[in-house]
Parts: sequence; C-alpha cells; structure tokens
Amino acid sequence: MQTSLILVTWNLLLKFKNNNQAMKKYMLIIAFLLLIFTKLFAQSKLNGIIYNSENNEVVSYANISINGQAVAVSNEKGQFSIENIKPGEYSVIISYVGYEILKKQIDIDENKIQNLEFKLKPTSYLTGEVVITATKTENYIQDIPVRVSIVSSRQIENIPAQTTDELLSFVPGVNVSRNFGIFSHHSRVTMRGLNGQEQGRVLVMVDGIPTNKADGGSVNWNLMNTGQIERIEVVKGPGSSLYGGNAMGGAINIITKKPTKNFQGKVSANYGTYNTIGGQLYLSGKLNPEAEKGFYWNLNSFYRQSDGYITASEAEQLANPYIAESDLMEWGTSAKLGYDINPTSNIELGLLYYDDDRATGERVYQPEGNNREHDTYHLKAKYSGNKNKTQWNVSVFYLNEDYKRISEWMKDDYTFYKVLSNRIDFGVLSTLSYDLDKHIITVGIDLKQGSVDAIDEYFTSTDIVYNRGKMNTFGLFIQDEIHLFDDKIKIVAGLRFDYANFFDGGFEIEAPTSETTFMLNYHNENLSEDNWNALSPKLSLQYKFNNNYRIYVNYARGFRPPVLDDMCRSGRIRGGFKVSDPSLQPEYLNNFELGADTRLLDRLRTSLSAYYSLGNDFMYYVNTGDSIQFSYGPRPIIKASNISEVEIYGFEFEVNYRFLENIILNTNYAYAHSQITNYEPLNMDDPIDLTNKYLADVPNHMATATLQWQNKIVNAGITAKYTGKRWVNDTNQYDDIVQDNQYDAYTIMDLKLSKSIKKIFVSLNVQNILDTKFYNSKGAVNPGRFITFELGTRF
Amino acid sequence: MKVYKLFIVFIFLCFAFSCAEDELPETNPFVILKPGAEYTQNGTSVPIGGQIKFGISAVGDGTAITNLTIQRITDKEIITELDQGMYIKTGGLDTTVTFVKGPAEHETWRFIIMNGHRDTASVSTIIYLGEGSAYGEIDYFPSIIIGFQNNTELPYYVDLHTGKAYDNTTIAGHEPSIDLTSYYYLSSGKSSPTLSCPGYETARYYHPEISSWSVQNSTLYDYETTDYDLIATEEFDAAQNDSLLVNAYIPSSVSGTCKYCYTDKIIPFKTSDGKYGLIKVLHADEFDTGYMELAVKIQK
Repeated sequence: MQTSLILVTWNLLLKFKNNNQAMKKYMLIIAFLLLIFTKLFAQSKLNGIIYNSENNEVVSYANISINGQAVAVSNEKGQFSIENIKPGEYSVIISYVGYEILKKQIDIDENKIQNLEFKLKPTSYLTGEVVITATKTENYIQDIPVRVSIVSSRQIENIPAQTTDELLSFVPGVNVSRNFGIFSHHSRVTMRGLNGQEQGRVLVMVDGIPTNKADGGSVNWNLMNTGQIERIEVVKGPGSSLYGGNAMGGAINIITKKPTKNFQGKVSANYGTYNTIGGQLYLSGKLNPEAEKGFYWNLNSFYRQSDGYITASEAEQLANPYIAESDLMEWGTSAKLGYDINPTSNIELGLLYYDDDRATGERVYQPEGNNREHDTYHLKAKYSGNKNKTQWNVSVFYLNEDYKRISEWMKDDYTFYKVLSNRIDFGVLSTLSYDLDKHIITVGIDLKQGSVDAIDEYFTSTDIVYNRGKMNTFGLFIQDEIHLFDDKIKIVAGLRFDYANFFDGGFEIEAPTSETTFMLNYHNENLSEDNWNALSPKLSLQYKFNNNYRIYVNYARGFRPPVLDDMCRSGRIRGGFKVSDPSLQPEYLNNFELGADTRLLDRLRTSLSAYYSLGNDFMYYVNTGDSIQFSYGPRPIIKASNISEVEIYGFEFEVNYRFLENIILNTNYAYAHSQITNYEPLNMDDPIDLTNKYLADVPNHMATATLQWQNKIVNAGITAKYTGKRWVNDTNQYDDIVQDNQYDAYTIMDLKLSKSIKKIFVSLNVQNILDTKFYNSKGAVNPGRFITFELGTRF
Repeated sequence: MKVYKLFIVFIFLCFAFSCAEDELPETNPFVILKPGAEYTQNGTSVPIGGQIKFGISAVGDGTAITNLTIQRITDKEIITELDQGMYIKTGGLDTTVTFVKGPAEHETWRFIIMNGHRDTASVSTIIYLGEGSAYGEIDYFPSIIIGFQNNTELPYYVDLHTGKAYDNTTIAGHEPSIDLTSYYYLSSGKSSPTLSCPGYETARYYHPEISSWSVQNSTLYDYETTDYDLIATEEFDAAQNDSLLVNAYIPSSVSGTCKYCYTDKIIPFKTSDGKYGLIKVLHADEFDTGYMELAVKIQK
C-alpha cells in the first residue's frame, strides 16, 4: 500500500513540471495522502478539560506541556487530548494568560484512557504569558522591564484579519500601512512615531530569524500566512542591544506552531469579495508524542487568487484608458521538520516557498500588465537546548527572494521594462545563557551577509541597468538579567557591538538611450568599499510592588543600518534622481521609557507606557544642489544622507477587561509626536528646510477596540480602529493629489463570526463594515468593504 | 519514517519545479526602407531645410516590434531623431516619417528596430546636401489665450495650425485638429503652468472630456530648450522662415507635456503631422483658474 501511494504521488509530482496550476491542486491531494498515511500512527491516552477555578467556566486555548515540552492547546470547550503516552509519572504544566501556572504530577497507567480535570486560578496579574523575544531568555511579561505585547493564538483565531500584519494593527502604538488590503504588494509595520513608510526601523523575525532584507530593510508580510502562527511577540522600543540593526523602533517575533500531537490538521476553503478564492491546509504530526526523543513535522500551504479591483481614482480612470484591476495570485508552502533530542533540546529544519503575482492597476500590452512578483524561498536550521543552567540556541538561515517587476505605460510612446532583483540574506545567529542564581548572563555572536544583484532590462529601448552590492555584518552582545529582593527588583543591562562592511558594489549602464543617458555620470563598476560600526547599550530597571502593580524605567539605544538600495543603486524616485552613496552610516535612536501596569479590579488590567526618543543621523533623501535633465525637464539630484535629528515622544494606554470568561474587551490609545529638530542640508542652496517638520505617515492619534465573545451559538470578534491624521510628505507641503498636506483621519470596523460544529467550522469575516474610503499619496483607494466566507474542517 | 522521506521529496520537488526561469529564443527581426517616388531614396540630394521622407517596413519575426530608432549620422555627430517605444505584435511596422535636411554635406540615416526579445535589425541610407535653401514660410499667431482647467470663461484647446482656440461648447467637430491644451498644478511642490496635448495622459486627467475624442493628437514639446532658455525671445520675434523652428527643436528631449512654462519661455514643438513650431509664453498665471497667453510660429 505504501509503495502504491508513493507511486501515485510521484506521478502527480511529475505533472508539476508542465503545469503550475496543476501543482496547486495536486498539493492538496498529496496532503490528504499524507494524512491517511500518517493516521496509521494514531492512538489516544490522556483526555483533559480545563476550568476556571472561580466560576467553573472552561478555559479555551490554554497551553499544556508535559515534562517541559509543549504538547497541546485546549480547544474552545477547554478540552485537550494527548495520545501515545508511555506509562509513568509526568509533570504537567498548564498556562494561559490571566491565570496562574498550574503544575501537576500525574501517573499514566498502561492501556488506559485517563480523563482528568484541571482548574486554573485567575492570576492577580493578567499578563502571565511567557515570552522570549525581549531578553532571549524565557520570562513572564510582568518580569520584563520593557513594554511587550502579545498577539495570542486566541486573538489570531478571533480577530478579523486576512494577513499577519493586520493582526498587529491592534497592538498599542503599532502603525500598519497596508493600503490595499490583500492586494497590497507590500506592507509596513512600524511603531512609536517612526515613519510609516519605512519598515527598516522595526525588526521582524520569524522564530527568531530576521526577515528584513539588507537591500531595502523591507519585509514581505504577504508570505507569512496566519495559519502557521502560534503567537506574535512585540517588543517596543530599541532592541538593538540584542538584535543589532533594524531593531531601532522595536522587534516583532512571529512564533510558528510546534506540533504536539501524533497527527492533526486543518483544511479550509474561502470565497470573498472581488471573486477572491482561497484555500489553506495545515498538517502536523509528532512521532511517538510520549517519547522524550522523536521527530515532529508540519506543513502549511495556502493559495489565493482574486479578480481584484480598480485602485485608481475616477479622474485617473478617465485620463488613462489602460487602468485595470489590481488582481492577485499567490501561494505558499512552509514546512518544519524537527527532532527532540531530549525534553529540553531539539533540532529543527524549516523551509518556506512563496510566489505571488500582484497586478498594480495598469495594463497596456502585456497580458498581466504592470505587476510584481516575489519568488521566495527560505531555509532555516536551529539547534536549541537547555542543560545544567545553560541554555543555547544556534540558528542558520538562508533567505532568497527573486523580485520581478514589470512596468509598462503609454505616455509619449510605449515603455516596457522589467526589473529583476535577486536578494539574498544569510547568516548564523548564536546565543548562550547561563543562570548564576541572581544573574542570568546571555552572550551571543551573529554573522550575517546581505546582497542584491539587480537588472533593469528595457524592451522598448536598448538600455540595461545593473546594480549590485553586499554587506557583511558581525555582531557581538552581552546581557545581564539581575534579580534582587525576591524578584521585586529586576535590572537588565546589555551591550552590543556591530561592525559592517559594504563591498562588491557596482552600478552599470549598458546601451543607454534617453531612458538612462542621464545616469551615465554615475556609472561605476567598482563602488568604493566602506564600513561602519554601532554600539547599542541598554539599561532597564523594574520594581514590582506586588503581583498587581509594577513600574519600570528603561533606556536603550537602537540603530538602523543603511540599506544596499541606497548604497549601490541610482535611479529615478519620486521628486528627483537618487544617487547611491556607499558611505552612508547608520541612524540612531536613544529611547527613554517609563511604564506601569496595574490591576484595578478583579478583571481589569491597565498598562501605561510613556517614551521620549532622540534620533540622530536620521537618513533622509536630500538635494545635493545639482540637477539632472530627464523626462519633463531638470530634476534635483538627491541622495540618502545622515542629516537630521528628530524628537519623538508619546504614550500608550491599554485597558483589558474580561467581562466573563468568554467575553474580553481590549482597548488602547496611542499618541505620538514626531518632529525633525535639526536639519542640515548638503547644499546651502537647498530650498528645502525640514527643521520643525513632522515625520510623514505617522498618525498622532491611534485607538483600537476589540471585543472577543465566545459562546455556544457563534463566536464573535468585533474590532474598531481609529487612525488619526498623518502628514503626507516629509516637507509637510501641500500635495496636489491628496489636495491637503495631511491625510484625513478614518475609522475602520471589522467583524468576524465563526462557528464549529464537531469537526466542521465556518466563519464570516467582514472587514471595513462601514465601507470607509481612504486614499494614498497617488490618489489610489483602498478596497472598501471586504467580505470573506470560510468553510473548513479540523481533524 | 517513509512518511518523512516522501515529505522531503515533496518539498524538494516544489523548489525544483518552481525556480525555472523563462529563456527567450533568439529571433531575426527585419527592416527595409520602402521604394517609390514619394520617398526620399538612397543617394538623393536635398537642399538645407528641404523635407526628407522615409517609408519604413519591418517585421519582428514572431514577436512584437518594440522600438524604432532613427539616427542622423554626420561627420561631426550622431543625432537620434526618433527613439520610439511601441508594441506591434501582428502585421509588422509600416510607417512614414518626415525630417528636414540639415547643413551636413552628407547624412547617413540609420533605421534600427528591436523586438520583444531585444533582438535588433537595421538599414541605412545616405542623403546628400543639395544646392540652395528650402526653408519655408511660417504662420504667425501673435496672441492665443487659453484657460487652465478650472477657468470657466476661456477656451482650453488650440489648433496650432490655425491659431484658433475652442472651449467645450465650440469644440464639436474640431477635435481631430487640436494640438495643444494646458493646465496648472504643483509638480513636487513647484508651481507649474503646463502645456500639453490631447494624446498625453495627464491632459486627460485635467480635461476628462478629451477621453471621448476619437482622435487625440500628440504634440511633442522640447523641454530641454525650454528649461535652459536656449532660444531668446528676440530670436523668436526675428524668425521670418522655419529655419529657427526646425533647428531649435532637440529631438532627444521631447515630451507630450512641458512643465514650468513661465512668462517669456520659448518652447519648440513638433505636431503629430510633422510641423515644427515655436511658442512664446506672453503670460502665465500660477493658479488653476488662471490663463496663459501664447504667441505661436509654425511651419505653413
């Protein structure tokens, strides 16, 4: 039987070669074959149900671990089941946000199905979750003297969001720029008053592996499917003392699911507005779950296509007969294969493949019109463990993105060219922690290389433009976590040194015509090498009055490294002609923060953080004082330069209230003031003076409210999000497309209803219920109300 | 364990079959100059200022023709007279182009086509300088007034051949002869009275009714001469024949829109039917309800 299954699968795989569409369909079939195949291992031994000890209501989504290994999560009815446990004595730990951790010794008898009840006691402090991102060691949130937010598995389940970054928009102070919903070819997640158009100021990791590309600092949020996510940890404020570059404004760590059962899975299909069709498949398994050693695996695949909609304004549609729908097709597969060496150490391999094709709203002659593709694969390996007070983690990663952009338009004549850019980031990250009673010392070394090799190839003229560059980064850090007076006082001190060098850079033009002749002065086959270094200290102190009240103060310095795109690529950008500058240096942010958490009533938790940041050497595009002649006349020559000092301050206030066990209200408000305090032009004739101007695309005010209500009839998640006015550009000038110097404020309301009937589940997701319209700086509009219906099964 | 072996094979195959990149096969496009008395043939002598006319026929060898480049090559320089992107997938290219003979004793004219695979083909012909001069007469329209997009009183559209201006109530029937329109806006924050033409996308943005016209002419403005003030107003005033009109026009820096047309700017242009001309800006407001006053000289 096994042989025939393999043969069938092999035949299906052979068909992939000739038919990509077929591949997507056959993937599902293969997944089901795997499902049947793996089912042979299934058995069951321990069933549990978890209650709230005060009111006897069930506790959903609690985490269950046995002998230190996470093995299950309770379902909506508070139930869980663990199979194939060997007879013996085990230590069971059950944890969930808002409850004290329950530790219990249990005995498993041979060939018996045991049914146990567990009662969790609500904590006097509602944030009991364990996180790892803030210190690279496991800590409860309330033990970390910095503001950390979590997007939990329960929120992921209930919040009406289609993409991972949308989930983050409900975290206080986090600003998500995804103007076109699922049709956005890129999205940016920033926080705490930093420019909303620059992803490079916030580090984004998946299981601790950085995903910001060295080429531009950007992150492809589209490839992170929500189906694979266990939780998301958001650490606000500079995290460079541990993570180095990009963690200037904060760090986001997306933790993916780890298989806990012999076999489980979920498959679903969805249909929505604009003829959007999609499907998801998640399969996971663990061989011999009861054993200390053993393999585990998971596979997550998704597919989505949509007819899309027209983003252009009515006036633009009248003017341009080539305006077309911004449609999309995307699919991705990620897989994890791990081996538990013993209860506290394991090895994991991870693979990810993602491909998309997103049209950008104009089609002249090419079948797909203007579009962008990201053909991406990621390879990761991790070895982590814990023995004799020593913890270690070594990760190796290789991230490859082949970006392709097709641009065509008809103005004076027809122009058609392709951009092909290969971006590679790889490296080794290592961390070692040692517990010295009152001190936990953590040290680490990171080695990374980022590179870009790009070509702009014209098909309506002879021009070809090449750019390339590489950057090596070496980082060394140390951190001391000091616990004093029965953990009433905690001090965290850290320091990291980063050194980087830029090399192998070039910018070349071949067969220039009027499209590129103006760039010839910048043709350089060997751009000069350069290097920089950065020192990132951190010192924070926390005092816990008791388990209900704490305050902390924190100082940290973060930096953003210069990106390869600014160091080795020259070309047109909005407002002028950008020339590369290999000598760019990092920009820095010194952040001072004060925070407090309280529990005022039995079910009410509040938190407040206030911060004051001073940035220096901020990178801006500034006029060099020269101009260049290209289409439509002379344009200023500009380049990214370290020229500005900025002042950012603000606060975040969050209130979480649990009305009943199954009704939770989260609300938050964030204020940010971001202003350039000193601007030094490269040329005294530069007419632009950014002094006292406000950073672009930063809402002064943001507020969100989410209500999660789980009940027997239908589970509901209702959200409202207010985004205040934002400046359109750095110069705070009137924009003739927006017809103002600020974008209007807007409010978005979303709703998700879901229901499970045995193994079948259905959900209705309505985003932007009020059909609120908002426009970007090019006059393009958001998709409006977006309704998705999903049907699936869990097994 | 076999489950995992199969799983690994599956993942590997996903990668293997997803990374193939399309390779373009080599092709052989082909271009010829048309014979016939109506076209200027190889070896012909043409006096300075005289019209040169070529008929071009080309095929892309199974793929679209994407570019036509025409170069005028003299002993001193290579001037790209035309570098036009296009996308002609079926039937090939069949077009006629006209130019004006320059002062060089002999000019080699090279015609290069490129197709969608970036393969090229070319053909050349030599034109000699004839005796005398063939610079011709011009029409002069000393004052043409047009309003910007939000001006509700003045006309918006100009026929440069007659100097007549039309508004939305009088344009009916004259659309195919309109060469010029205008609008005002802030370009990257900089004030810009702008000249444009019906064939240019942005003009249709400010004057949406153009979208319904069956003929939308494209006039090309020389923005380099305009931006750098290469022609003085006195030269414009003194022009009595089309010599200045033809020679002021720099074909490598032209567009269907011309920004920053402030008072006293001189703007060389070429209409879609090949007529050269000059515009002198007599007045340009810097708000969208304002107007421009132009003086125009154009080949008869």
